[in-house]
Amino acid sequence: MPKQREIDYKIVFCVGSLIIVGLGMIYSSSGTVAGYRYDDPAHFLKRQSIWAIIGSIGMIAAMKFDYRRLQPLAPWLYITSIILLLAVLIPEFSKEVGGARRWLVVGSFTFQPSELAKLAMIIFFSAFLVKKEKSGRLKDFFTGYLPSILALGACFVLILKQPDLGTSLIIAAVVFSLFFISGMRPSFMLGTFLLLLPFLYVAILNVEYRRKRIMAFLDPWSDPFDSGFQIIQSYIALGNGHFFGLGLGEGRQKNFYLPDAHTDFIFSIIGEELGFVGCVVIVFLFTWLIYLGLKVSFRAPDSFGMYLAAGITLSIGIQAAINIGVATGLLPTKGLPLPFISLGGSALVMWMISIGILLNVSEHTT
Amino acid sequence: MKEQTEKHKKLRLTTIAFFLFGFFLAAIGRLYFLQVVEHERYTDYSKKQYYQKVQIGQTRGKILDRNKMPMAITVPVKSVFAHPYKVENLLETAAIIASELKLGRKAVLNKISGDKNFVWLKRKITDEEYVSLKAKRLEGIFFLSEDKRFYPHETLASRAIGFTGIDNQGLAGLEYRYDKLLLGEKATYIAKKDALGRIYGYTDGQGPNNSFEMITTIDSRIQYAVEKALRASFEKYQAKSAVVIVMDTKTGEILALAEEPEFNPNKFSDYGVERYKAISVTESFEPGSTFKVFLAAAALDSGAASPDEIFNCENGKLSMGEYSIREADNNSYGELTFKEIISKSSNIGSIKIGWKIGEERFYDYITRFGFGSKTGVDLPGEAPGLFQSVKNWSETSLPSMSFGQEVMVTPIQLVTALSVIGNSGMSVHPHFMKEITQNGKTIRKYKAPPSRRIISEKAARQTVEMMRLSVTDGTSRRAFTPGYDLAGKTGTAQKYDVEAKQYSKDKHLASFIALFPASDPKISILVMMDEPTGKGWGGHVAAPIGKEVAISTARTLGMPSSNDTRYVVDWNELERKYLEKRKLKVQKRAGLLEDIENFIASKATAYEGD
Repeated sequence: MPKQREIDYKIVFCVGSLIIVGLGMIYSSSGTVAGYRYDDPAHFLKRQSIWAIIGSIGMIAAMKFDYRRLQPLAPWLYITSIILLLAVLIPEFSKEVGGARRWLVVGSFTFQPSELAKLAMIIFFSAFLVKKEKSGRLKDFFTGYLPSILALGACFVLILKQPDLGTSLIIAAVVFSLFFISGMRPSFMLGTFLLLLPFLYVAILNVEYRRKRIMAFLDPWSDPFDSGFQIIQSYIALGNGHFFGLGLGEGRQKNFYLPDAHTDFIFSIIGEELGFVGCVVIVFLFTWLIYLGLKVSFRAPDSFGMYLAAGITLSIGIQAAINIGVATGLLPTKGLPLPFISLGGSALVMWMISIGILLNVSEHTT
Repeated sequence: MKEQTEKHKKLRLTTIAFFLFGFFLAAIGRLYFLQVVEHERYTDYSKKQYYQKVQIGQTRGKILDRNKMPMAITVPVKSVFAHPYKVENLLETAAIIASELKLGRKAVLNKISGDKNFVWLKRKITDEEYVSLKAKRLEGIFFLSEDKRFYPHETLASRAIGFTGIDNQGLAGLEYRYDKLLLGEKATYIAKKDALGRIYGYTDGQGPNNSFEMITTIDSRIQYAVEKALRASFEKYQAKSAVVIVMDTKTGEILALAEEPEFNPNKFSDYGVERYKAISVTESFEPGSTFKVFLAAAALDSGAASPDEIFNCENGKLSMGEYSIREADNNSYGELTFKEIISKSSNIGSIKIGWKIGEERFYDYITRFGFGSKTGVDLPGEAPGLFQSVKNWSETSLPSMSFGQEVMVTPIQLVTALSVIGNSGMSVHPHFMKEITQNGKTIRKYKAPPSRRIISEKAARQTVEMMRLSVTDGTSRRAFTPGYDLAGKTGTAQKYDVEAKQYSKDKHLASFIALFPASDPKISILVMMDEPTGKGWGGHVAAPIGKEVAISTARTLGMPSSNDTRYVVDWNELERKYLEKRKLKVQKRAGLLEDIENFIASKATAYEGD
């Protein structure tokens, strides 16, 4: 019988630190932009703080909610996500920003269904894999793998349609990781990947901006004022930081040099203002959080809890890795926010609810 | 079996985790490379895009009068501009702006609906306009502080001071002449800019404040009195224009330069271009009889005639071939002494003196007095005046010039030449700039070119005496003021009518020049009124103004008239009286104290007794 344990304060500490650093960096990096657009340098800080409070409530609620009761809800969560992802494609219900339809609009409130889908998919596939495992059909292609990949595919395509390649890739990566962990045959997954490769190639190289991003990734200096601009500005931000940074608020790259300084490229501003030391601290906090999350997963009393904890932890880890990888030029430019730190209300709330679930799993460890 | 699968699951999870941790490790390596190893490379690169050299002008320096009273100052005012793409309701915004700023509604609408990023709506608006427009809180409409030149005394000395344009560039007068100095050097700043090229700060705060202030020779008290006197007469005689110049005889410092019609530099655009320029330096006139002063000086200096030498004035008519010369105002004189010729302003007598001097010599003298060339006064657009060189003179040239015809002079030339006579025959250089200061420190003072002797001291002295006679017993009688020792000379020049090719009968230039005190001249005065209506004699029109100017100048500068009672204060006597009074008071107070003490004492004893 699993015994009740105290909540894991180390996880709370990691997440809390990341959110506080995030708020500070959002204020610092969005002040100029917010002052210019809204005549209020603290505009984004205020909004994100409100979201952090809502997120905390969500986190506590999730923490109090026995994760095992999520198992029967899993199919409903899946269906709800798919409906919302469909709804976001209908112009009447959604808002278009920068050529992408990612936000549902309900009154003055906007919400990003793909953020919900991320968590919903983790819960759904955790339950799904447990079910397949129990019925012994996990390793079967037609009854095990095919339904799984189709369920994932529907979600993937809908998010890709927005378009939001980043989030769909994150979801695919996390779900594939769960497949891999569960013991599905790697050959199926490899096969699927190889099958999709030509489509992926076309999807990337046929879309002008994605192709440019790939070229800019390979050699940003070949086009420093257009496709290479953002990554070079990111390097400049990081390079200016040196060991200890210019000091909070002292960075200059946010003054319209580095686009998306308060969202996708906030890590570069951390590097500029808090230096190499600050960056290492952030990377360390993420690594520690992943380590703690995986420990929760290892100690989970059942497979559902284990998948859930692993999925949540990996989604945080993979997204943080991609974001940091992009900022440092290890990966091609792909707009993905840094978990807990970048500006974005839906994402923060969903991340905090995920942490709540993770904490609940940790309370039930053996 | 179950445990085996669990173990395998954990192993696979650990594998994924290791990839993740490996990636983070790589990221840290990459960060070290970018942030530490390549630090220099990126700071170099960033400097190029962050900084820009900008040159910013200083606040334009003040122009002060000789007592440091401000004549031209710079005040901050608001200007309105729009970012058209930010304007929300075009029609409404245009309507509000048009009514608030008194602009055309269509013009405003065109401006704010264009595709420009920035448009001026109106520059340098009034405080009232600013307050009421700001209260409207219009989207896309902004205000910017700008410097505006302001002339607190409005018309005072305006022709000398000049004015500046919308960008504070000097356009006329001293503002134009000393534009560079008043602007100061542009300070170079290193500006910090954002990626849109907008400057948001400067690297080293404020640059050095090196704008200059100019202290002029103008005395605004005298200037005020002069303008007041001149304006009254100008209006009375409905003249075309009028000028008064007051100059320090010894130094050439111009104490006042007043001109009519008036000109308010704060509203320069309300006037035509003709009103901008200083008549005193840009316009030339035939001076008429005031020129006889220089004829006299030439005759005395060259020894051609002595003051008491007698000339036959032909009873009012001198015939020269087909011409005949008459005295002014149908006067007729028989025999006059040289000094009487000047004081009574006899034309015929003057011609005879001119003949005695001779063409070459007279030409030489008037050239030496500075006629025909610029005085070098520091106002823009100075005219050199005009007369023919001696080889082109006709038979009538010398006679005409002897009483001030066939020669064009500027008012500034005339008053400068007058000062030479007042200054014992030494040259004088007219100027307005007295000192240039920076942050309260004098950095430059006016330095006159070396003084040259023009005529002998004796000749100068004798000329002044003749002018004095003109005031006490001649044509300048209306300038006579008991107690003020004035030397003067009137002039009434007929104006040459270019169309009729002859001298006009009703258009005159009335003038009066004066030096005082005659015994040792300190102040030179010129009064000139162009085309006064009515009789227009210099003696009638100009001399009374000269008198008023002389009196107010004397009072301002503390030069008492000999008629004024002088109070000599005996300080010792005053102190003695004061102390005596005080002593009395002290004694009184001591007495009172004694009374109070006695009173208290009586009460005390009374109490004791109870």
